Amino acid sequence: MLKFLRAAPAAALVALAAPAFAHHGWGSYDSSKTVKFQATILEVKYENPHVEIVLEYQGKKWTITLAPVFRMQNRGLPQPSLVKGKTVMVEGYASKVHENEMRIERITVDGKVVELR
Amino acid sequence: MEHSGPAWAAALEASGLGALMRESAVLYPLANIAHILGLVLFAGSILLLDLRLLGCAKALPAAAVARALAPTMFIGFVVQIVSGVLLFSADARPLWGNPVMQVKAALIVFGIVNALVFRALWNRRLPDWDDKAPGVARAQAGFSLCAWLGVAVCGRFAGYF
Repeated sequence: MLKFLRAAPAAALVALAAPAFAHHGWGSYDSSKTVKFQATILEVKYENPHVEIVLEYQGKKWTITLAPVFRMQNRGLPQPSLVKGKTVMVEGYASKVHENEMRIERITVDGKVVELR
Repeated sequence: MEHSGPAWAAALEASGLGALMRESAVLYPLANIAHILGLVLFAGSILLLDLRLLGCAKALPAAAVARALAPTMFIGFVVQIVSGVLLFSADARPLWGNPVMQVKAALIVFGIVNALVFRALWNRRLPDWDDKAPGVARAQAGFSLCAWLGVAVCGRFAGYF
């Protein structure tokens, strides 16, 4: 039992370190370099676990990871607000793990700025 | 991102259930919450029983501990299977393609087989173990502890991988 208690701090450390690999957290995104651009929505997947849209940025198609469906609705971005052909402004960070994927901290839709973190 | 995967995963993802889980704002987070509560019930009960078999809390008779923990273990297991299938169906192909998820699946199979073998071998002899369980049984309790903790770790880690 004592050994268990001694191991606990190590386990806690591992738990804290885990977000460094994060998809759920922001660690796997390059937050040292904010990417901000305006583009027309090419595709929308209004789905769990994360809503995704596809935008063109610097000549390439990027998968743009937004928030879970519940949060999107809660923060004023229901499904009808994100449709193909609409122009949006996004601000976020490119993935360090997946090519052409970025995670968005803030999106402007119809002149409304919505925080997604 | 496009994903390939086994036909069963594609079928599950394309099913009405998969679509419902992806599209519903409420069901997905509810299934997530159920999966955490189920983990508490299931893994909590298992860990307590395994610790008893490994020699902790000897004042409590092993057979009585096993009996007392069986209902929460069973309910927790059912909650985990149901909520797990729901979550999995939303995103089956990418999840199945995730190596951490494959380790998790293997550990679940190992954990279940280990528990069934344990039950078949030792269930009737639990009352004799109040002092010390046989070495093989203690090893199985240790495997069980590691396997189910590993399942929980993999489950959480898969989202980060």
